[in-house]
Amino acid sequence: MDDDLTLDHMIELLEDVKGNVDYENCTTLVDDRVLDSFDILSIISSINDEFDVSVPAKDIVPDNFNSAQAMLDMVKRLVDEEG
Amino acid sequence: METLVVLAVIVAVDALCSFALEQYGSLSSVMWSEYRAAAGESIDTVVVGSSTAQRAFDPAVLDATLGTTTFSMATPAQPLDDSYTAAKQAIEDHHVRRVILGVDYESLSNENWAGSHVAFARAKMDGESLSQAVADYWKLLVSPAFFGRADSLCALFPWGYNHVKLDPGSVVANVRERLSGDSTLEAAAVVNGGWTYYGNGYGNYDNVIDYSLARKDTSVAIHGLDDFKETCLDQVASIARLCREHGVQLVVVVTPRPAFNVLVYGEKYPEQMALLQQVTEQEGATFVDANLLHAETYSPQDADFGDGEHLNRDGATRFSQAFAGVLQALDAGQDVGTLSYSYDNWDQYLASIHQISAVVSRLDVDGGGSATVTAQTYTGTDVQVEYRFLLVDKDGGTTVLQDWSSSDSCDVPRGSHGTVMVCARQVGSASDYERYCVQELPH
Amino acid sequence: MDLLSLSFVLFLAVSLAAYYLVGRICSRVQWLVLLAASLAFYCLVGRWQTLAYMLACAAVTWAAPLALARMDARCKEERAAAPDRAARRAVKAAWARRRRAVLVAALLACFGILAYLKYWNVLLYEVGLAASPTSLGLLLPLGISFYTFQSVSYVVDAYNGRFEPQGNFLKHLLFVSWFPQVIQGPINRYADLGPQLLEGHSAKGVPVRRSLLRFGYGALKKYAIANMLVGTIDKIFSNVTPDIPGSVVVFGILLYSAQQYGDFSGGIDMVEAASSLFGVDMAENFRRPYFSVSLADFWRRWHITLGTWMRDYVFFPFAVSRPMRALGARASRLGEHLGRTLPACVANLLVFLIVGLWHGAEPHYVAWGLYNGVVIALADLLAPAFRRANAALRVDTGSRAHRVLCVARTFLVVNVGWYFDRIYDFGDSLLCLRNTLTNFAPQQFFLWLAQVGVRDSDLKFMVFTAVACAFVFVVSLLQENDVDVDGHILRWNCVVRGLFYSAVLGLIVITSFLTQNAAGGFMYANF
Repeated sequence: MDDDLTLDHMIELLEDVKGNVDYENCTTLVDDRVLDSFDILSIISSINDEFDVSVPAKDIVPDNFNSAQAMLDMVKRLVDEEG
Repeated sequence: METLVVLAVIVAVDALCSFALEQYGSLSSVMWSEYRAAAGESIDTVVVGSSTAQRAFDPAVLDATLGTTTFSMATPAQPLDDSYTAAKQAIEDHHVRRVILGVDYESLSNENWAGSHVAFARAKMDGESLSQAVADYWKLLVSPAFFGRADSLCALFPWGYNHVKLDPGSVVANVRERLSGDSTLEAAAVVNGGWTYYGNGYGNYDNVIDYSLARKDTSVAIHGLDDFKETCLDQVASIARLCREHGVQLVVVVTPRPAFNVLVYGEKYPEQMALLQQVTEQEGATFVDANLLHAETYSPQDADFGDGEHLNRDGATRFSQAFAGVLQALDAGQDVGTLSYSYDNWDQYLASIHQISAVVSRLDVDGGGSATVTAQTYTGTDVQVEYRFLLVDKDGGTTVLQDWSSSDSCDVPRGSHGTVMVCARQVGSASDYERYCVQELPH
Repeated sequence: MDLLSLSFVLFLAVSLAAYYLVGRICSRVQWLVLLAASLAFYCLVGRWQTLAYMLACAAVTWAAPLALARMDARCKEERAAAPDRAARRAVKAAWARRRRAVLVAALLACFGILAYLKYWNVLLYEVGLAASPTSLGLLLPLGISFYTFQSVSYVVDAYNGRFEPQGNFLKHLLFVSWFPQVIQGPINRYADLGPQLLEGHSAKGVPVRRSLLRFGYGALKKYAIANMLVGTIDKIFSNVTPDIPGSVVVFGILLYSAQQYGDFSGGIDMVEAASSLFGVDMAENFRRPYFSVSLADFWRRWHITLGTWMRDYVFFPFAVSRPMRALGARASRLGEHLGRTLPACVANLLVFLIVGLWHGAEPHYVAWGLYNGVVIALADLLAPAFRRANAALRVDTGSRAHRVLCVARTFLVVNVGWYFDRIYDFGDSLLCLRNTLTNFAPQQFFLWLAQVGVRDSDLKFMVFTAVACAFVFVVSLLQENDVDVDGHILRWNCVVRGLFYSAVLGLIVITSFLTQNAAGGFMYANF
């Protein structure tokens, strides 16, 4: 599984949820209200499907969702914790 | 520096607006300027209170009988704490012997009007030294009625409170009057059409009440019906204490009104007024409700009233004569309580009314569109009333809908236009009506 | 104590002077001035008798995180002493259960007080066990909903390990009782507000002019708009009968739209300004909500801090809970979009049910909450259909015209919601909706208003309100286009500024006089 955990893969997933966003460079996805809470739930649901890891409520904070990289880091950490 | 300029501009605009918009020749300013003009004269009695007091007591009439020198410091909508201020000033300046506080139900049940507060304070300030004026105005801003409310800041812009109509004509007229060299007294006569000044702070109108408009004229229709405010009763008590401390006699007088405007309160009137009487007498002052005086002491005529709350000039003359008699009795050590009915025996008062004071009507339209006019008379318990209902069309032609009978309601035929005239008279009378009112029909 | 009053101005002046004076001497104890001011304000404005409730709430929310921290330490010790991995896991699980028990107990205590004081009497009344909704004579403490929610967020954040809990009770009490927030919010977060309250500030860094400008803007909205309309709205909706004309209803609802926004956002502007004079910036609570492009967007711009509170402590936790995930998995068999959005929609309904109850326990508030929840949920469920329709009709969704259309549509949807919010009887709400559509009767408009006691002068004086509304609209429009309106005004020539301030002050003075004093139509009484 671990080899799937790349930034490209994450961006692909995000584009699937919501297109027309510059995921590569944007670091204020939540702060600038690019993603709303419904989008975030969709992302969490996709992460669950793709990476087989569930995001607990306490990790749903802006810092973890402001950029594709932050989301990737969070997923890596969660995978580590579960393992 | 910039901040100073901004502030200066705001102050300048404020001053300019006050000059242009603040009413020149307000009745408060007449009172204070006349009071100051009488500084050298001896005054031993003052009248304080709101417009009902202002228009009930004619100082000249009181003085002619009693040999006193009376000045009226009552002003329109004067709140009780301003009555306190006025009484205090007169006690300090003239060591007056007697203070007459004229009140009505609304003096004690209504929130004070910030507008009259401001007008009163501004008029008082006019002839004062700057430091005294600032102190007076500061006292207003931190008074309980203002301090916690927007008024405490907004009153820094006094033109917002007692201003002329906000149309160019009124503003220009106000500025012209201010610049014309007219005194406040002359200006007041211009501003208040029909008002005449008779001296000693007293002025009045000559208009006569139209009893057919009683429905709109009752105080309850104008102000609503509330219980007396604790704060207002406290203010009466503090005026009484002020007088007691200075050895001044205080007479609290409920001013006369047409009977309908007493009856309209129902049981509330004796219930609430009894509270006022209690507070007044507890503090050692005298209480007189002019509406309850026995007929041999005072009995107003129909034409004595200017409206539902105020006496006109003739009415004030007659009342002042009667009231001078009450004061004479008081001076002779008599218990003036024996001169009137009491709140405990309200039925006796109700039975003492032998006239129809007013008739009012109401229109009910049910879902199907049929209309009923219902009449209500304000009169004594022993009076038997009969009614007649007339349909008046646009050209003034009348048709009888229901001839004289004891029934107080009448169905209006569908499709009727115009107005229904409701006539009321006592059974046995042959007159066209004793009182009437007019009910508008929907279009 | 009104926010626009000499007593509040003096209160602020004394507090500010003390704050910055103490700051000069010893900035470490500067926060004590804020605490003293907050407690004094609470006693002056609220009822001092209800101070105990706030103290209780503060005590619970102060103690619980400290207990949690102590438990964490014990857990660590025991894990270190555990012989093997399985034992370590068992220790962790056991302590996790205890931690949760502490959290639940703290939440129950906070919400228990709130529920008892705010809902118990209404509930008894609704089921016929109380004579009136206020028959128990319970005193509702000032700001209880706000400080309860704010304190609860602190406990939950601490539970999730977001920050070290505050050990000093008085410092925590300041966070709970900070006086600008206590009247009507906003609901702040500890991570943002806590440090600002406790660190020292010097008067130099404070944007005084901006704060005063904002205070005035708030006062304009509250006095020239909200207070001017509240009487007329009341007359219209306390006289709902089956034949009320739709035109009157629509008029009343539109006035309510303006009144509600003016009152709430104006008040918030004033307290935000007051807070910023102490160098403390609170969370923003409004972002020009009537420019929203959807109802969901509206709720991200209206009462923002309540929305984010609901999002973080109800919506997300509920939506990612196990049952909701299972529901999503099952729904995804019917369609990928449905699978992804259904849990969100259900969570959203729950959120708005709570938002409705937050406003009050009466049925019409619940209906109002559910209306919002259902509309947002449907919009989301049907999003793909809308997208397809837009594509098929070749709608340019990026165009200005489309945006204006969306804003207008959202305004309409929001206003339909106000029917349930403002009309205090659910049946009457429905009746008014029906009459809006079936009995508009514009020819009866003035007649009806006169009948319910709206005076001609009330309508005439609304011209002042209209001027204020136009002003707020222009400012909002500029702000929507990222114009720093305050900055522009502050750069004006000082004479122009003085004249401008005079005009705004004049409007506030006139309307304040009208609303407070001319109730009997005695505007020109000539005293």
